[in-house]
Amino acid sequence: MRKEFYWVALGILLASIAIGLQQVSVQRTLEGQLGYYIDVREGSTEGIITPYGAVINFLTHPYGAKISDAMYGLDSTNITKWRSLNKVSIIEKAGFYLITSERDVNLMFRIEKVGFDNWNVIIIMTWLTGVIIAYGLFRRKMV
Amino acid sequence: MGKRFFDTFTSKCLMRNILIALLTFFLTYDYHASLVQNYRPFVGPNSFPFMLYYVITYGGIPLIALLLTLILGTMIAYEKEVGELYYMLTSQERKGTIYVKRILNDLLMLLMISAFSSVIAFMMSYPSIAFHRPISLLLALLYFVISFVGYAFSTYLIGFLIAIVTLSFPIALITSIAVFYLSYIEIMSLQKYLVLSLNVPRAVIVSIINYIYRGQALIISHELSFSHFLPLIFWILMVIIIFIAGERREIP
Repeated sequence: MRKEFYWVALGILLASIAIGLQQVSVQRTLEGQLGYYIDVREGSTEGIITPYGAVINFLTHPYGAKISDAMYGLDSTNITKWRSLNKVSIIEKAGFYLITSERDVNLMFRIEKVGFDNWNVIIIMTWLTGVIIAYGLFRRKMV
Repeated sequence: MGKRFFDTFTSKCLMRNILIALLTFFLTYDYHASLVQNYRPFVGPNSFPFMLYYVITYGGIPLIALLLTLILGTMIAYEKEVGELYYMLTSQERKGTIYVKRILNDLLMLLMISAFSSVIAFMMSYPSIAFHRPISLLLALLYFVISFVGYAFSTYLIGFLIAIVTLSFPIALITSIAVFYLSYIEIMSLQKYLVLSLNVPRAVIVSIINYIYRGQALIISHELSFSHFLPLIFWILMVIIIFIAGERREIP
């Protein structure tokens, strides 16, 4: 079983590299052409941004302190405003976004950065599996 | 006892090990692709439990991984052909017991590969969710492991059965791939059968999510019928057939 574990590590190493390469390709395409999609719905407290890379912080309470902090700290021109709840929209850059609806419900959120946030995981997995495979090769005196 | 139960001899077969590496690669890649929904915008309910359910259960059946599992099942014929299955000829045990041990050994391997791949794929797909809510990682693991066993173990047993009937690796390989192609692509019967097995893990995940996020989530659970448990009955029947066939077979 221990020997098979090295082969599993090899498979994970290959998958990490393949996923990483695919992400580079996707990121270039989306940054160049489309931006990032976000699906925000009325009354939601959490959401997901796709492709999943962009870090999203919902400041969920419409009249809470966090929104006022954000508003004080920023020039209002830095806040992108939408009137498009219940709609898929495109995000092209990091920053603050304020969404208002006809029913006077506001939702503000912040995109910390645009881009995949899983590079650390991919790099750590690649490194870790590489070390495991190298250990196996050295142990069997194959290198 | 444990060492004898899980056959350490299988680790020495290079072809099998390469197959395991390929299987891990394709499974991790497929799980990741299904979790990120092929980089398309996520359209659906936006609360976390709903999102988790739809994201996890989005993918279908990974075809290449299934095919590799089929080939893994036929490996026993290859090992006999190249003489690596010497312990089978020298062992005092009956063949049926050896076959069942081998099946358990491979099942354990498939479970391990599936578990590793699902955890890593989820961590790569949603690192922030995985670290902030480890329960989502466990749910993804549970879903992928149960569903993979549902469809992969069935095809593994088909390959295994064809291998011990023919006892020739090329014939077993060609026959099992032909059977797979006809039943999966042409007649679609295998596909329908495998999709049935996906409903069981989905129902499990729905009930767990509804239980954990009570008040936030109300996902209508799948209705399970007798047909959804066909794979389970199929495995038990196949293992019994293999065991009896092995016990009755003369050692050459």
